Amino acid sequence: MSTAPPKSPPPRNPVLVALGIPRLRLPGRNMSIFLGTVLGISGMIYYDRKNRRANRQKWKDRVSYLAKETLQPNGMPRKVIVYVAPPPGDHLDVTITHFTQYVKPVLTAAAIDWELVEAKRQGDIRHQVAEQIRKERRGEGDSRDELMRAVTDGLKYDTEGGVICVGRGAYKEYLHGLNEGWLGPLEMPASLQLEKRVEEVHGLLESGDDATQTAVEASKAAEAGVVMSQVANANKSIEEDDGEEKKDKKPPVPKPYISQADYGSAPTPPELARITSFQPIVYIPLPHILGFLNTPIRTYRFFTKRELADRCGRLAASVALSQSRPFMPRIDLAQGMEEEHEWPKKWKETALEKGSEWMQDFVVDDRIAERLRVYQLPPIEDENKPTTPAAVEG
Amino acid sequence: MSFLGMGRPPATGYDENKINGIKGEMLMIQQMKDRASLVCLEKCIPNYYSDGDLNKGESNCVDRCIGKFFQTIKVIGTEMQKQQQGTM
Repeated sequence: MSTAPPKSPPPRNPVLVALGIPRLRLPGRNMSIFLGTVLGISGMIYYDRKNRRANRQKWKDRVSYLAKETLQPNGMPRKVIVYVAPPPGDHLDVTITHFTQYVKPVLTAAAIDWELVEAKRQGDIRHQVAEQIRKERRGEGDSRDELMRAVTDGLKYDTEGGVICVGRGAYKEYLHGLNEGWLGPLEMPASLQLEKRVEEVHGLLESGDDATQTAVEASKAAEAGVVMSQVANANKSIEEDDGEEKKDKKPPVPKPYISQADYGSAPTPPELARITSFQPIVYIPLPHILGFLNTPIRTYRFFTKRELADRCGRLAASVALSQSRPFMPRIDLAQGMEEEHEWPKKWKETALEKGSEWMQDFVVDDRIAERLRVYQLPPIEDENKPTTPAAVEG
Repeated sequence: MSFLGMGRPPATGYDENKINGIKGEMLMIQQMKDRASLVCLEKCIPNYYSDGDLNKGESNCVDRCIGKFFQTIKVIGTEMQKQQQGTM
């Protein structure tokens, strides 16, 4: 071996010498994997958020010309009603967050006022809607007192309105409430009154600590003596309701005044015949899935929220722009079936056994269906083109 | 103002303390109105005044701003009352 002269160190980049960096190296295998994963996930999240914001902004810009119209000092803005119900197995916050993130921005951009009607239990929305319709039918729709009347008579309200149902449960309940209100009886039918009496008696007997209540109990028991035979039947449901009562201290939701099977045989009330169309409605999808084994699906949804923002923004824009089509039962009753498939199986089974509202037949009577409209934007070829009001409405 | 030595009875319902109380309340309400107008003007109405009338977006915004303002005042009022009652 010849002894070569000692080699001088290889020439180094003068920039690195000046900066004082000894050696530049590419990261090794482990570091690459780590960096790749972290940057990959962050990148996906960032990309999704950026596009979600862009989609939201696109729909906001579409409707924002509505907010620039002048409003007279005595004019009131258009008001839509939003029905929210918690998805099965989860809290109400989920639905409200969904509404706040995807629907509300478009409504504020279009300067539309909304009223959020929350439901905590099954049947709340249905009962409220039906009760309101019954009040109108009886003629008690105007419940303002003298002062309010003096104040609000001079105001010019926007009569357009609109109804937004977030989630399949709220959608079903709203339509059932509509049917019940218009086709059902104006007063509580006798069978329901009987049940209510039985529940009252049971409530008194359960909470009978007060000695003075015994007299009331006796009279009520005498009245309900006839009813006691029905107690055996109603016992099961009452015990459950009592359990709820002790927790919530609220009376259970009244049952529907007319059942789905009776819709067809109910007579058309004259008040309904006078009306040609109801407020248009829209169903906002609420994808919500629970379960450990569904983690891959949930991860996929976590990274693709931009598409949800686009869908919901489009529906909200159709409300803002008042573009609607007639209600078609074949299509519209099936809206949200994919959401229903995601409901927890156990919940669905217990609901079917108990006969809960959300698992009953979804039926809309023809007389109601022909008067309903559904908000939907017509398909537009190039959605990313900037549009003028004329092009959109035309 | 007392009509001492003149033999005339004091005018009914003219109570110095009450008048001062009412004056104080009026002042408070006026201050509240001024503050609310200032805050909501700053938040809701952008600086480029192209038109004399308010448009729908600004109207809604002002509506909500005032509503939130008074709600906050109510909450603060009840809290302060509770504290007062607590210390008393």
